[in-house]
This record gives sequence, structure tokens and C-alpha cells, in this order.
Amino acid sequence: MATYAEPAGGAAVGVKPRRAPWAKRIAWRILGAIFVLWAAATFVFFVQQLLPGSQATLILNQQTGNQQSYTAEQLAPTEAKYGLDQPVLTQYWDYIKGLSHGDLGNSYSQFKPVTEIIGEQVGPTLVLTITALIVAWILALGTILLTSRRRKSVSTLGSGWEIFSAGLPYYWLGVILLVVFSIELKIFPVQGGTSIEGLVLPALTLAIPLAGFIGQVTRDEFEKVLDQPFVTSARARGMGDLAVRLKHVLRHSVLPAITLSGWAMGALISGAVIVENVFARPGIGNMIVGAAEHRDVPLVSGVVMLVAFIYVISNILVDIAYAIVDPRLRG
Amino acid sequence: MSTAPTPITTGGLRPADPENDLLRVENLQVGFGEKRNVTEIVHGVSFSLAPGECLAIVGESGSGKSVTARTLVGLTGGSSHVSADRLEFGGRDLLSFKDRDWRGLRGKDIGFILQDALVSLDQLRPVGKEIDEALRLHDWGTKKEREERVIELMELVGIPEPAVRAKQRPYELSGGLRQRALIASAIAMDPQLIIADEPTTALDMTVQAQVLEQLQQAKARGKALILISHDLAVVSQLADTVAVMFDGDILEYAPAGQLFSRPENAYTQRLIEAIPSADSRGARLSPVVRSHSLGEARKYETTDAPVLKAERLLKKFRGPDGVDRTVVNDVSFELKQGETLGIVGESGSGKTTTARLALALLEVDGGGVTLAGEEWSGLPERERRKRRNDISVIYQDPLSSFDPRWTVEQIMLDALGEGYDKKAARRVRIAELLEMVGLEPEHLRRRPLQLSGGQRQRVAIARALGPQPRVIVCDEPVSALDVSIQAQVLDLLADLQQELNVSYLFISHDLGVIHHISDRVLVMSDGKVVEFGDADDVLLRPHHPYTQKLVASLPVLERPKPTGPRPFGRPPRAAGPEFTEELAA
Amino acid sequence: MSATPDISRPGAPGGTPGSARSGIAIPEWVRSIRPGVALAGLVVAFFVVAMIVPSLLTGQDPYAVNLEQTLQSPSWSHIMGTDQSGRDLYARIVYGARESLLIGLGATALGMGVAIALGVLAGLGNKWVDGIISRGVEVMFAFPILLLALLFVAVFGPSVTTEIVAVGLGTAPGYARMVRGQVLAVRDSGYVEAARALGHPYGSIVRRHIFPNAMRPLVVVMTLGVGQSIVWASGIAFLGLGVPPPSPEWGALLNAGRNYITQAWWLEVMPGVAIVLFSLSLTTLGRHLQQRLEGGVNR
Repeated sequence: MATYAEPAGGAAVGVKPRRAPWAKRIAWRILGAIFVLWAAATFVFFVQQLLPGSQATLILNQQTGNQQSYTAEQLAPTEAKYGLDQPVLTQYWDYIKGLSHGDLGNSYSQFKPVTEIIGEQVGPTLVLTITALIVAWILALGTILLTSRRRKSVSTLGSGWEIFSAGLPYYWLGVILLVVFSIELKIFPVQGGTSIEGLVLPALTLAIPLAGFIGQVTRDEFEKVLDQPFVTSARARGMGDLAVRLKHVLRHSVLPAITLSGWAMGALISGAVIVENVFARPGIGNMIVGAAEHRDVPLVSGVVMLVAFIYVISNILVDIAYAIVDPRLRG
Repeated sequence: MSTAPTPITTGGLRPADPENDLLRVENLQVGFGEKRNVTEIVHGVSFSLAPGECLAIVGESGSGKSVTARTLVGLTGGSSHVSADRLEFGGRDLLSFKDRDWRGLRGKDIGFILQDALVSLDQLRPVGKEIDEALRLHDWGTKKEREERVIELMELVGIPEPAVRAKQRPYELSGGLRQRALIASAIAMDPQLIIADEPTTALDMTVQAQVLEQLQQAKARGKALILISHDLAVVSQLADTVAVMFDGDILEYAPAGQLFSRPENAYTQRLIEAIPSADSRGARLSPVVRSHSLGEARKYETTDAPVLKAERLLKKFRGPDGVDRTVVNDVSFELKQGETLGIVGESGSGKTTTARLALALLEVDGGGVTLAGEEWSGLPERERRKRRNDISVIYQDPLSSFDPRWTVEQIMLDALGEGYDKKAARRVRIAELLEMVGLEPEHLRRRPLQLSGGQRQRVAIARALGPQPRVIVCDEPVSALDVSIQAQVLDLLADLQQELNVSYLFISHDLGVIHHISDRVLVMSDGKVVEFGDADDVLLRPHHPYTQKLVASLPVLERPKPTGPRPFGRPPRAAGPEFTEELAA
Repeated sequence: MSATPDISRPGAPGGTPGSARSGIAIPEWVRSIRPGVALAGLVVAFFVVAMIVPSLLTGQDPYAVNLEQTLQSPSWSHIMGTDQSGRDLYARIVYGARESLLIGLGATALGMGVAIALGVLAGLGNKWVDGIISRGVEVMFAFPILLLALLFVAVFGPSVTTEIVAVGLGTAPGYARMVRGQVLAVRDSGYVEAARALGHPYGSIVRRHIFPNAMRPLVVVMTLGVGQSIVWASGIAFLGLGVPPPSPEWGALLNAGRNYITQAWWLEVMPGVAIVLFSLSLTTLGRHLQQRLEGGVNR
């Protein structure tokens, strides 16, 4: 006997939902997002402070290409230039203040503000990741709609493919695609730059494993939902199989995948680092690897903060999407 | 009955009436599985149905009744194999149907109502759309015409303010309204045959009554009905003909009146006798009796002082929206040693919370509970733990109340309480407990997952008896069991009470069960006590309008009253040879 | 009707074990292994042997430079060909297994350790503790593994430790969320309440019920996790930010092989095959374990 909590007193009259709780939730979300960003910035700053040795020494060595130690007087001007002679708490405060104004500091290796450098390179990367996300969704949904719960061989194939593709490393998949389609078959250019043709293979490389992941999660949900009584009710009214999947089951089963997408943006940018490397495609991915090699801490930190920011925004969007798909969460 | 009386034989075919019959089924067989591994679930059943007639297919779980019904709409599932000598509806041969044919039939000629609208309607869509879907799928009318028809249908099934309700989603409606919306979506195209699969299970009694009324009205409009249910009482209200199924066969197939008053098959008799109600008080429900020894069981003395006393209990919960709801509001009762107090109410009445307060698994916000004359709810948990031996609990779903990794033996060891340091003493005590509840020593090695529902509940009872409690709180202990197993468990509880003089605080939504087993009854609604008194007084002569409504919605199976005295512990009737293995079930 | 089918057939509950015909009693868990799972098991075993006693699997020396045999395609003497310094690729992969597996195990151990600590505290603690830890975990999610690794490399310089810490911390929040979910589910379960009703003290309940039941599914996750960690660690090495040469660690092999894609494709493809094969086998084994656990004892 299902003992569910009935609204006390019987029928729930249809009242208009009050504005307050819904708006309150959004406000809480934004507050939470700001907290996450602040905490992330604090963590990054903390890691920076753990740098072995002196930061000024590092900068000078990187700029001159030497590997030596310096006296205090030699280091002084560098320290002053980068604000490294201030007490730690002041540095921290300046850092946070800067962040809230969108100032990510100055690069150690290139003599420009970090925001400028990122701004130049971020475009292609964003194009790549967003395209990959969309493609991943299409691939995943298509596979599930077609192969879920059909003849055993078909659905096992679909499920098996998802598991396999989800585990494919970006670097390997990218190289294989590059070798097969660019080098051997010469369908796509090897160095595509920012053109559309140059977008295809990198986007696919990012999309296929993500599609496998989304597919697995959604498929589990899909199969569970297919067994639910309300689906049988729809069939009993005379609805055909494909229509049932599209009109009833899909909406119920995409919820976990939507949650996943919030996390996915951050992971995709992370993957873009590798993919841009493999396909020699311009973007912040390529840039950040060089920056790390050159120990350019502000530049790397800047990208990390940017990704954190994107992650937080994605999550808020996901929450909104969730509420649209499942009205039970609105009130 | 619609047609002239036709002679009906037990388990056999009713002589076919080709002009009148709407549905004819002969030797229907259904199996499941892949090519070589097909398990037959339905072993050749036959029945027929005339327009305006109501057939009830009754059976317990595993009887194949649901599968049989689904063959009529082709919803038995992908791995099913359906064959029959004849499967005809309205003159059409259902065996030859392809997908397209089924889609034309479903919803239009045959309507199918599932149980529990909460899960049988799409939660994410407004109910109006679900009803509209039935019309749209068969290309009925224009959009505007459909909108009007939806309102009409909702009025037909008695939903007030239909225009507003049509835009609401199932979780925004009360149980009764939801169920009506589900019915509306099934009868939207005015099908000639309506199949209802367990239409009242998992529903509150008052909602159950509403559903039956709707089906009654449909029948009055000339529709044919097939009711699938395990509940004979529910079925007796509507059915013209009853088919009793067991393990894939129809054991008895007779007009309703005849079946209920003079059942021919032993299984049917057992099912009828297993129904707990006012009439069965003090009598056994099942023919199974097991012998055992009392052993070291302590029998508590009955005194005037109550063993469990609750005064003005109050409990509030804060909902996710921040609003406080009073779930238990000024509830008082007392329970004497050796007595059973039944707490009955619908969902949301607060009865389960009251039980948890009595067990002190929840802290009270107001009022108090005393156990065996001493303070109970007011104590800190540290102190209470020492006395938890005196009160134990049996849950509705035993499976979730057992650690999934543990064997029955581990569960029993865990429940032994104090005073069993020596291994030998423990083993003796466990054997004793097993015997008391009718389990075999071989069950010790098994895990609950490997046991049947009835066996699991027995383990739960044995665990509850382990610490030798004065009071056992039973929270819907039989609601999830088949009728015949329910009967055995209720008998067992009654036996134990007689031998050990233990008290029961028995929670249930089922009035029949409550009436059967309780000495006194507490009726709850919306967190408050609505009525309290002797079982017969409250349930046969209710004062409060809510109790009256509740009692009125209880479907009662009309059967002849027993003539002589029926003392408890009477010798079992001769059960047929095919039922002796029930002893272990 | 709630689904507790009471099948009143003789001898229904507790299935009888299989063949009484053959004299040998084959345990059920062996019979359940499908060919794919067996294959996966073999692959994993192979690499574990490679990790412990690599010389069993190859006679060649992975560091032996042979300038006359550079960039040879796969042949009988070198089943996977040679690299730009004439070293046997197969031998390098076998010896590289030790490095890669150790990094993977280390990272998983670190990630799991952090995750269990956080997850258990959050699951068992009160609303405040849970809230704070959950916020913290959310912050960790904002750092994808690779970017975290890049940050560490920028600050500490490339090394094996950087790889392990970055991958460990990067995977921790996912596991932590899972652990917390498990702990919460068990904490709110019927059998924990039943144990309380029997009078068991809280500490005993945590020890005997909550911990074992919450941790059980994690065994599977850890199996999958090792594969994932290796993939990520290799990715870091692929970018040239991991172990320095001439280490035969798989990611480093991939990094080196990139320059020779057009001339000697096997240098890039083979190490990748090793990684994918190993990761896939671990996943298969993990899923098999999961099905066994869920079908049998866990609900």
C-alpha cells in the first residue's frame, strides 16, 4: 500500500504559484555561485603561494632563459612590478578585488594582461566546446531512441557502444580520426584553423565520448521509465511505440543527463586542451599548455578561473532547464 | 445478468452465444521467454463476455490474471507468446492482429484502466492533455471539439471545476480526482469493453468506493466490464460472473451469487474464508495450523494498568516550503497487556507517525508516552535503549527492514536481547523463535531476498519476538501480502497473542483487517483522533461522520453467517492435497 | 498489489544449485562469467603481471637503443615495431605498464581516500556539516582534472607527483558525491531504523550496517576509477607535462609518437591501444562485479 503524503484536507485548489519562493530560489543560487567562485579563487591563490622557491626568481629565469639564483636586490624590481613584496593578505585582497572587476593579473611570459590574452584565444575554444556539446546530445539521444529496448541484439549493441565510446581517451580518438580522415582519406584538412571543415574532427573527438557518457546515464533512466505504468496507459490508449518514446518517456529520462551537462561544459574545455593540441587548432587549450610549461602562473590561473566561472554559469542554466522540464520542481 | 440464465459449469466453458457475445476466449495460452526457454504462465483458459456483463477475474499474485487481461489489448510484452483456439472480440480475430490493428483497437473499442493514477498518469503533463490524447490518437474531432469533449468527460466522471482541473497535473489533484481522471482517459472514446486491472489496490477506502461507483455507472450505460483483482469483496459489488485463477488455470467459473454462497472449489472456499472482517472475529482465517512448544516463553500478566499509554501526542513537520504541518494532533490512547489496539485511517491521517512516536523513534513535540507504567518518551535515548526490549516493531515491507547482506540467522542473533551469552543458549532460543513463527531451521542459512513474502514477514515477526517484548507495534504488516498468506500471518499473530499475552498496536488502512483482529479501535483522520472504543461499537455503530463514511466505503462480501460458535483454534478443515506445501509458505 | 509474488509451488524459494549430473560442483559465480568478461579478466591479469614481473612477458630491454633498427614496422622480431631510437615498442609498453598502473592506483587511492572522508562526514553529519562539506565538494567540481594538473604544473613543475595529486583531487568530488549519496541512503533505510528499534547504540549501527552497506558499491567504482585515472594521467603526459623521458610510461610514449604519425603510425596507435584495452577491460570487470553484487545480495 503506497502511503504517500496526501495534501491534507483532500483536493488541492488550483492557486497561482506565489512569486516569492521561485525568485528566492534563483537568488539563493546566485549567492551560492558567488560563493563557489570566491572559494575557487581562494584555492587558486593558496596553491600559488605553495610555489617552491621564490616567485620572482622563477619569473626572471623564465624571461631570461637562465637557471640561476639571484640576490635580493636583483629580485626587488621584479617583486615590486608584480606586487610580490606586499604582505600575503594584501596580495590576496588585491587578487580578489581584481577578480571581481574582471582583472586576472598580468602574464609572466607575455607582457600583457591575462584577460587580453585569453580574450584573443577563447573564441575558437568556445565554438568548439558548444558544438561538441550539441553534437553529443544529438548522438546520444538518437542512439537511445533507436536502440533502447528493441530486439536484444540491437539494444546490447547500442549499450555496448556507449560504454566503449565513453572510455575512449580524447588523445587517442583524435589521433585515429586525424590519421584516418585527414591523412589517409584526405577528407578533412590536417590543420583546419578556425574554418568549418577544421571544426568537424575536433568536435567529433570531444563529442563521441561525451555522447557515450550521456547515453549510458540516459539509457538507464529510459529503460526504467519504459516500464512505468503511465507508459502502459499511453499504449492502452492506442499510442504507437515511437510516439510513446518521444512524447512520454523522453522527457522523464533526460533529467539526469541535463544535470550532467552542467558538469560537461567544464570537462569539455578541459578536453579541448588535448584536442586543440592534437589537431593543432588555435584556442586557449593550446595556449595554456605552453603557459604551464613556462610556469606562467597568472595565465594558467586565469584560465582556471574562467573555466570555474563557465562551470558555475552552466549549472545555473541547468537548474533553470530542470525546472522547465519537470514542473514539480517549480513550486 | 443481461441475458437469459445460461447453465454455467465449474471450470468449463459457458455454452457459446455467438449473436450476443462480445468476447470469446477459448484455450488461451501465454508463455514468456526466448525460443527454447519458454515458460508457460497461462495454461489454457476460456471465458466469454456479453455486452453489459461484468466478469471478474480473481486470483493472487502469480495467478496469471493480469497477463490474461493484457492479451485482450496485445500488451503482454515483447517476449510473450500468445496462442489460443479462439480469441475474438466483436467478431474480430485478435490472434491475427498486427501493430496497426492493435492501435486502432486500444482506447477505441477496449479501454484499459491501470491501478493507481499517481503512477498511471504522466506526472509531467496536465490531466486534460492525457484525456485529450485518447481522442487525438483516434482522430476524433477538431481541437476545439476535443477540448469540449474533455470537459464533458470530466463532468461525467464527477470532477468538479473541470476547466480548472484539466490544466492541473496529477500530483496537484487528490487521490479520488486523479483516479477519476484516469478513468476518463480510458473511456474517452466510449469503448464497448472496459478492462480494469486492480482498479482499487493501493487506494484509500473512500477513493476505492468512488472508483467502484464510476465503474458501476459505466456498466449501467451498457458497457461490458472485466475486473482484475485479488480482492473478492471489491469484486462482489460489481461482478455478474467470476473466474477464479490459480497458477495459470481457471479453477472455478460461475455466476457471482453462486460462487460466493456455494463455492465448489476448495481454493475458492479458502479465498473466501481468508477475508478478514467483522464476521471472522475470533476465528481462524486459514486452514493451516502448526504445532509448537511454548518453551521458555514468558507470558506477561494482564493488569488493570495499561502497558502502553499515550497522552495528547503532538508532532509537527516542516515541509520543504518552510510551512509547519501538524501531523499528529492531540492523540491519546491506552493499550492493556494482551490486548490489540487497531489504529485505522487513510493516507495522511498520521497513523504511521503515531506508531513511530509510540516506539520513540521520533521525538514528540508535545504530550508523552509511558511504557509499562514508566516514563518512555521523555527519557533521553541513552536510558530508553536499555528498555527497548519491551517494545518492538513489524514493518509493512520486511525486505527493506533487513540488512541485505545478512542471513536469517544473523538477523535472529541480532534480535536476541540480553541474557544469551552462551552459544548453546542462543541456538536454543533461535530454534524456539523459528518454531513459534512456523519456519524451518533450513531457513537460517538463507537471505531474505531468497524467501517468499510470507516467509519474510515471519522472520520479521520472529525478530520482533526475540527480545520478549510486552508490546509489538505492527505497521501495516499484512498490506503487501496475498490474501491467503495474509490470513496465515493474521492467524499467527493471534496465536502468539494467546500464548504470550503480548499486546499489539496494529496500524492498518484496511477496515476489514482491523475489525478482525482488534479489541479496541482508534480512528484517525488528518492527525486527530476521530473515534475510539470497542471494535464492534466503533465499526458497527459509528458515531462520527468520518467513521461512518469509512465504514460505508468498505465493500462487504455477502456470505451466509456461520451458524454455530466458531472458537479460536478449531481443527483445520481438510485441505486438498495440492495445498499442503502452504505450511512453509 | 505490491509485488511480493508468493509462488506457492513446492520447493519454490531458494533455487537448487545447478548440475547434479556431473560430479563436479561448479560454483555459481564461475558459471556466470561470459566470454567477454573472461577476456577482460585475462587482459587485466596480463597487465598486472606486466606491472610486477615484466621480464616474464618480454625478453627485450625497453631502454636498449639500437640505431640500426629505428622505426621498424611490426614484424616477428619486434611484434609492435621499434621507435625512433630502435627500442622495441612492445617491451616499452610492457615495462610502461608498471609506471602507468602505479600512477593510476596512486591517484585512485588518493581520490577515494579524500572522497570517503568527505562523503562519510557529510552523510553522517548534521545539516551544517553536510552543508559545508557539500559546498566544498561543489567547489572542487569547478576544477576539471586537466586544468588542475596544468595549474599544478605551472606552480610546481612537471613530475609524477603532480600527475598523481592532480588526477586524485580531480576525481575526488565525483566519488565524494557518490559516497555521500550511499551513506544517506543507508542512514535512512528501514534496517537502520529497525536496528535502532532493537536498541542498538549509534556507533554499533554505523559500524555494522552503515559502513559496510555504503562502501560495498564503491568497490566497483574503484575498479572503473583506476582505468579512468590511467587515461587522465596519460593525457597529462601526452601533453609533455608528466614523467620525463626515457620513461616508457604510456602517456609519454604517446607524446613521443606524435611526431612520427605519418612515418610510423604504430608508435602512436599501439600505446593508445594498450590504454584503451586496459581501461575497457577494467570497465567490463567492474560492470560484471556490479551485476553480481546487485543481483545477489544488494537490492
